[in-house]
Amino acid sequence: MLLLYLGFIVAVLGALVMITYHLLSFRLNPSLARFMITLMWSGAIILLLLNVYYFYRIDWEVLLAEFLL
Amino acid sequence: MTKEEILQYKRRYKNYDFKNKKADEDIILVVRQHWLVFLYEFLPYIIALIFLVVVHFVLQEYGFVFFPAFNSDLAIFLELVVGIVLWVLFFISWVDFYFDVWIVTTHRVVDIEQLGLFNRNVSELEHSKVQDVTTEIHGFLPTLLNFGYVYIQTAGKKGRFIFKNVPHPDKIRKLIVELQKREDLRR
Repeated sequence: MLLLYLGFIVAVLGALVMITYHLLSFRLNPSLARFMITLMWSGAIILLLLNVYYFYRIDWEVLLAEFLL
Repeated sequence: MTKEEILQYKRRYKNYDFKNKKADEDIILVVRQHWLVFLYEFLPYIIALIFLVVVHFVLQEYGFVFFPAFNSDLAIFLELVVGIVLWVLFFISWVDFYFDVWIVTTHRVVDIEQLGLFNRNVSELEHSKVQDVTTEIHGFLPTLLNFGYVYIQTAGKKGRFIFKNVPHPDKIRKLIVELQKREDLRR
């Protein structure tokens, strides 16, 4: 479960890094790019931290055992 | 189009930059698709977000009624996973919209087409190669909100440059024709 979850987080971070790279390399409107990068990363970090918090609150062993039974 | 109008355009985009911009080149116009296209692309995300919020409150209130073994933490965890996916997809769509751009400079027209995160097509056309510029506004909403297509016929390999669903197509046509005339006079 942890491995699956880590894979999800890596995929999310990879996509965010890719978008940031596009915005920084293109340089069309630097102030808008900076604003969007800040908005995107701050939103994503808040959501990811909350997600990690709830991931650790859940007793996955009990939950999966219940699900499989 | 007067010299003053062109100078006004230049001033507006003086802080703008793009890859492979020449040192003696000034950006005159940056055009993207109309905001209605933007709205149409982002509507699914707004609907999904509203749906997610509604589902959250319904599950917190009636979760135990629907599912006897309802786990509130698991529900919030899954909602957050969906929220993160939506957040990332929203920004991928935004990049797709933001980088689908046409840049008119003092030397050329640059057509940049972004397809997802890993594909980008860039083509350029010098003003001297412009043969003909046509605009097309088709339909009720485009007529009402003044957006449409600009077709630039070229002498080059690509044949035709198309500005899709751009606001004020007539202004763009006049500007490109004016720049082409100036280029011809300069030569």
